Amino acid sequence: MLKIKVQDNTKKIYCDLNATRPLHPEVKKEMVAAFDNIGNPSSVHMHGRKMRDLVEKSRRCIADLLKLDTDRLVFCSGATEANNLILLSFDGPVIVSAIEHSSVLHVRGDAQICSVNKDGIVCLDHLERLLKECSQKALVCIMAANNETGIIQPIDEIAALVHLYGGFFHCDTVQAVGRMPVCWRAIDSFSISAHKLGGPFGVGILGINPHIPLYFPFRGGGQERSLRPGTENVWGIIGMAKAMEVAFAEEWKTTEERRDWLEYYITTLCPEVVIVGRDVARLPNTSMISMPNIDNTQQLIQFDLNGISISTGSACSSGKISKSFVLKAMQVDPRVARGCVRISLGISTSQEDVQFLANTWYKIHTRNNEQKNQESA
Amino acid sequence: MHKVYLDYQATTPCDPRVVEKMLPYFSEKFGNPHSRNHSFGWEAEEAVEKARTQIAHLINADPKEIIFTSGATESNNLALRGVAGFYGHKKNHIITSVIEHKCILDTCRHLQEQGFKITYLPVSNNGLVNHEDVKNAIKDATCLVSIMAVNNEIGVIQPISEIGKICREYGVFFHTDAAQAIGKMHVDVKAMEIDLMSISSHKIYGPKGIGVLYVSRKPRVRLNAMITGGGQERGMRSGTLAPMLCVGFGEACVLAQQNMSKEIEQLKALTARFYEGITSQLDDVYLNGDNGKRIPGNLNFSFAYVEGEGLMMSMKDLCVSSGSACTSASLEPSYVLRAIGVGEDLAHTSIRFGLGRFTTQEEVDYAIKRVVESVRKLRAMSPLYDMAKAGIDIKSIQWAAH
Repeated sequence: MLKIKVQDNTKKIYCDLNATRPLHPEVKKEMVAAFDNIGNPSSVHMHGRKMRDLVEKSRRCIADLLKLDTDRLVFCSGATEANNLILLSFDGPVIVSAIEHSSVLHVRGDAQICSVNKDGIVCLDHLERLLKECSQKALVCIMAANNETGIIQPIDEIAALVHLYGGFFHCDTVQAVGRMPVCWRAIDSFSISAHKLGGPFGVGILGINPHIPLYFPFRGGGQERSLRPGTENVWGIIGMAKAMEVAFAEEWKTTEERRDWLEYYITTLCPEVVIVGRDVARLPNTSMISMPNIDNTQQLIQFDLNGISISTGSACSSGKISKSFVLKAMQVDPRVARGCVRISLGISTSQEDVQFLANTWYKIHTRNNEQKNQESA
Repeated sequence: MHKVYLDYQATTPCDPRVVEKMLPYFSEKFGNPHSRNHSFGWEAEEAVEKARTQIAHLINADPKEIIFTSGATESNNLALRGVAGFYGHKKNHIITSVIEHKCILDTCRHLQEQGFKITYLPVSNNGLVNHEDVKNAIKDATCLVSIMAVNNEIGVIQPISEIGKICREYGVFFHTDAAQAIGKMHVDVKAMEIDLMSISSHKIYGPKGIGVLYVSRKPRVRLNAMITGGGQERGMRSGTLAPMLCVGFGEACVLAQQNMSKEIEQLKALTARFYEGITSQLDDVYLNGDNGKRIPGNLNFSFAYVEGEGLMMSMKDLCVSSGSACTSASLEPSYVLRAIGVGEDLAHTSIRFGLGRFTTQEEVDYAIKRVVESVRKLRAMSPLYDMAKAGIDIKSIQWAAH
């Protein structure tokens, strides 16, 4: 049995930002202020018009941040729905990368899978081959940054290649928004989730270029220009706009330095550690670290006992935790993959927190090694 | 007098008690309910599951039969498309009524384009579906009957138990859109033999952006999912759940359950007062929909010789609507009213008054006063009203083309 002294649990360190980000206090304030407004935004009376106003003001705010027209933004219940909507609405061949979120990867049974290289970056040669094979204009879905590894894709190059073949490029920007620059004009369609950037759960955006031929699947009262019917989640929409406003003004440089320090510290103490994607562009807050000789589920229990919340990968697919299809697609050695945990720092994660995290990591590592040595002795 | 909100069928204000339960999920309880690796996730999951139980309890379902969605529109789409997708290759006939919510009718039209056969049952002049019609319309190829529990425009209550019984007898799945029924009448999915049921949170004093599809496990209904991904909600509806919305919806159900009998009595009294106030002071006013079989809190009136939009404009301090909120921006007369045989002239004069939990007697009295004043004023200016009072049959007039 591993014996690790349980830390005083009053201090909890949340380093699972890629699963969800705590609601920003400014967002909460904005949403609570909106609680006094009642009515259905589709109603023509004064209460309804006020609600409509709030929805459209939020849309305007987000469009301005992205430097796009408001008619490109469709509000929906989240990024899973946004990804589903674009894939189900597109009548034509679809190409998705092997490391996409499950809400992209598994929607279309007929989707062609584009492979990634060992660094987790989409193989442009393979993508080009797949594009050449398509008889019609294809929809290519590649995420801006991966949720598990934080690895960033060469969005501009992909966009150029897709457009060269007359295709359309859908980019899942859930993890990218606010944490890296995105050229919104270069992509034809994108999905954003509010709760990953300090906004509320239950709301997201599908951004679409009017040139893509789409046939939207849901029917109803004609909301969102009939593209996505259903009474608007007004509070959620207000919260999302505020969250984006806050996120676009944020600076992640310090967080990146702390992440880099964490990795430097750990690799110095334990040179045999593997850090996935360390040599390529990554999100500033994400680190996927493989501890040698100990399963990630074991590690998570130890981290949790020490008041640190991290994860093994995507929250959606927990339950099947130890098998990451992302790492498999990158041909990471299964032994390395088994030891991988995802640390995703928040913007307010302090140096002290990171230090504690690093010490805890090392403590788990050494105890495990001592135990292994005792067993073999 | 400030504005009086009388549009409770369009949406209801979120109850302050609901908001209070939601607030912790705006700050310290921020976890992703699907994070299985830490306490933030567990806490959120626990909250979601508690809410699921609360909702199930209100309709006498098992928590496992509750599938969270983004609202009743999505629930309705999922029920129809889900059943059609799973069973459609064997059975391709669906029965519905002509006065369903737009999202049901449009989804049916879309399924029709894909080769499904749809029977649109008519309703009588009181707005009710005849359950014998349902029985007669069932064929071997019928996979689903979808009849709303309560109509959103005219508030009539359909014979759900009877239809449920028939469907069970013939082995056909029965879906009901109960967005307008929950909290205003007793709904028991087991006793009423309902297989699928859509509920909306914002119609029962909960937050917007969340709804539920009840999917029976016994008999087992299987669905093709519309939104796939992480496999949440037993694979029927993927996407991260919103704990704050789930918690709000759950609390709204608890409040509905606690207060329903009291609230029904209270609303019955207010609605009767409103009805009495209007009909005793104005002639040529018609109540649309059955007078008895309707939810308390809904009154849909046609004020002959008065233009509905004009009437709404002349009593701007009353927030009412001329029909469903979704279509209220269009000036088309309501298809529901046309279906119950209201002539085009009268359909244009109709207004829906929706009373609810926070409506007071003062507000009702004020509304009566304003309606009576406005109708009288508009009629005084109406040549049609003068002609009618002089005994001319308006319908017989041959209007010159412009």
